[in-house]
Amino acid sequence: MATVHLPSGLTQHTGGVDEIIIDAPRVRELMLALAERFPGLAGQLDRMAVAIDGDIYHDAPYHKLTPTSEVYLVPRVGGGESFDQRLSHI
Amino acid sequence: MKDFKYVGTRPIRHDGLDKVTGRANYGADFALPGMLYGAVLRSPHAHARIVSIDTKAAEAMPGVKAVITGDDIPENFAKVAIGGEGTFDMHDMGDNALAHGKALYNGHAVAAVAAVSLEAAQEAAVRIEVVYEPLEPVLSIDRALAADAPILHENLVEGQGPTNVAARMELKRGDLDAGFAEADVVIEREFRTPMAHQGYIEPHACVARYGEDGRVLVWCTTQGPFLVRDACAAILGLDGSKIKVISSEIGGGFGGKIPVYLEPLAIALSRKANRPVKMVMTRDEVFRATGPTSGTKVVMKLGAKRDGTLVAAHASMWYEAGAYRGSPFGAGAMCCLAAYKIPNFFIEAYDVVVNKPKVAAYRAPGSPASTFATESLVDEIARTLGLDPIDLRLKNAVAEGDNAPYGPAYGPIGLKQVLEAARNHPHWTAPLAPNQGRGIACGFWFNAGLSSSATVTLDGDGSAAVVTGNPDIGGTRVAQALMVAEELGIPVDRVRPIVADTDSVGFTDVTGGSRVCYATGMAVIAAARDVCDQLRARAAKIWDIDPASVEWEDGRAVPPDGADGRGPLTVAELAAKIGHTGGPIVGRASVNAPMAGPGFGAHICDLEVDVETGRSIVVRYTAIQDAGKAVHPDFVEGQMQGGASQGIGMALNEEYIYNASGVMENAGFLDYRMPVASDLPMIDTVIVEVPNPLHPYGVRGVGETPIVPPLAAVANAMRDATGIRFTELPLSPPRVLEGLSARTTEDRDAWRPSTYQAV
Repeated sequence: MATVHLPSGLTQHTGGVDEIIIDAPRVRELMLALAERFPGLAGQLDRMAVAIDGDIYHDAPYHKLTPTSEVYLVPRVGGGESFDQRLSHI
Repeated sequence: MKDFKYVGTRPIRHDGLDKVTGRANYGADFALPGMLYGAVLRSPHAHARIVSIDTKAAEAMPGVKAVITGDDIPENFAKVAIGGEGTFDMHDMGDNALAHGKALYNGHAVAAVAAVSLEAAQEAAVRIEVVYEPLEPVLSIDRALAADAPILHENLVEGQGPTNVAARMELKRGDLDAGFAEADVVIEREFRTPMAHQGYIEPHACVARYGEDGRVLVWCTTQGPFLVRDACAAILGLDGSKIKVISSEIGGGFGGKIPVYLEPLAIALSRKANRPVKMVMTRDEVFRATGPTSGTKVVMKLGAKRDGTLVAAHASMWYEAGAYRGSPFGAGAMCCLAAYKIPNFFIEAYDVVVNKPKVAAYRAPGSPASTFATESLVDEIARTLGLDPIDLRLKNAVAEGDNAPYGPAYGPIGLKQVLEAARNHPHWTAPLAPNQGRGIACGFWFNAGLSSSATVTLDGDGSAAVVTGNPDIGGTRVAQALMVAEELGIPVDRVRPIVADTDSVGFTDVTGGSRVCYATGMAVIAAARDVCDQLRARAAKIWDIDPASVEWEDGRAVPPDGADGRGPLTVAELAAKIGHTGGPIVGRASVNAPMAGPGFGAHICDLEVDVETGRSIVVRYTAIQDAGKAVHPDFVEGQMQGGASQGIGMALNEEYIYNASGVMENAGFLDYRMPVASDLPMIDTVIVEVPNPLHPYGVRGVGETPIVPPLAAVANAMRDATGIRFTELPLSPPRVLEGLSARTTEDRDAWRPSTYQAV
């Protein structure tokens, strides 16, 4: 279980939903659940980093979540480079 | 905070002597037997269709061994993930290395030659006959967005139709209209910054050898040897496991030595000529064909209550990507309000392609331009409300638990401590002379994490080597040696830090994102602790006791109480016995670290303006920053001074100047005016240390934050000195003189010297 916050640019794919509680043991299952619930997000999620309780991870699909985890999807930035260099209109 | 023995001291860097005596080997210093020299033919046009390329005359020139065009680098439409660095567009990276069908900026590589001498290669390059069909160049954001604008890429965004806008993002919080309705003062302005180059002293350079067995050696100056390996493999369709990249010493990068430019060409030429090929850019090529940072347009509106509480912000920003998508527009959007608690905001950002070189990362990419807007408006609100600019910032400053504009709550951060340090610094209250002004501004950068590997080996004499994969740009070798010294309890000069090639160390992401001391440092500390664990086991073997009962304290294995009078064993004593206790000891570790936790800084700038000429000079400058923990304070201070210097350059003079045809007119250091030592005062520094809980020592990364505040700190000082709010950079003498000349009598009367002025 985790509370997931979506950036405003993604809410066009969620019918305006910007916060949702997802029952998922890890980040991977959380992402799959999001994509299943909101199919329009499927192509967007791999461009996002994940902030879990304040710490931002770029590649952490197997990071465990707790019932109180606060998860934010965040555009990827890091490595001295901007990562949002894809086609994304988020 | 933990007590340290070595961390926090200032030993001489291990690579220092070689660097100050000229012995260090940089990108252009490498040579191989039988080596050829490469030269690149570049487009004279900013935007042109390539109708044909005839290489026959060049190939017939004496000494010419190979000529390549875009046909030799197959267009690759795959989007290939390169480890840890996210997904890169291999089509764009390959097309930028050598054009396919269209030249997209003045300086775009069109063909390349390898010959027995550089002169022969250059002479042959100009014999290549290229027929161009010139097209109208798109040289500004405004032109790129116009309805009748020429389109650079016919299918830039699938399903979007013709457009020069590659991407858009937005961030929002609260109710914008209600927020502005609450405001007593609302100020809106349009800000612009031009393209500016990283300006590293060492040009791009490499040597590549394509062997008969298909194995490739690349020696080059780069921020990321693993990225060079993987990018070259993807662009050229090679097996990455057969490419070995050796990074040279690096004479500056600042993000600009993350992309590949020459390396794929040198490999392709070597493959064709069956000889090693060396390529070195001229300064002209560096300016025209390697990544600057974006030119930008930011329209921002900020609202505050009478007491200075910021209540609403609205920002629209457009970032020039250059010829291919991928500007730091997202980071610009995420950074611009990161310092302040603003309950209502809407930010939109756009990635716009133009006929200029593809931008590359440049120190906190995206943040300086958007923060220039924010910090200028914050200064203006403080002036309008008659509030002290530090008080206003402190009133609105974010702290632990506040949410960043991009979502998550901040952990421990040091912005308020930084601002308090600024207020307490004698600079803030020092008097100013006539025609001088003072400005202050804040800055933010995320600080990256990503992947790093390290090994620590212990020798029989008790010395150690630490091996990592990050080229040392900012003194990271000595920082890593300090970490090993701290863990093992041996002097730092007994630790040899080594930057290894891609075959000799585990995968490591680029030197960038202010991540090396943090993320690679985490791997180094873990590898050193692995050595300590093994030493504890060796001591237990000597004592014939349970390893779990042995403690590691202050560089010694300590037996449990009552262990038959056995004394502790030092690293040197244990190392002397490693042959008898189980053989060599190698510690190893790898990490995939989360982002480090944000770094905040504040800069104070005193500017003196010559009202006759418009020339201004920085007469005093102080940079204050939260470093988390300064492992080697000299290099933290050096980063703060270097970032401030580059930001001052962007504020005062640096800009890409193009003629109407899109040809850059100032592609050299005489005309592209970067500040040199004699242009600047000694930049004072104050290191604030609010430990980052993600790092064993509290490190949070320092390299990028200090380039963010100077743009507005300088502009705010200019406002203080002249009464003029400049919103377009740089504040070069012609622009300042124009501003001074346009002042009306009313303007001059309305302006009052700041309280700092001694007059």
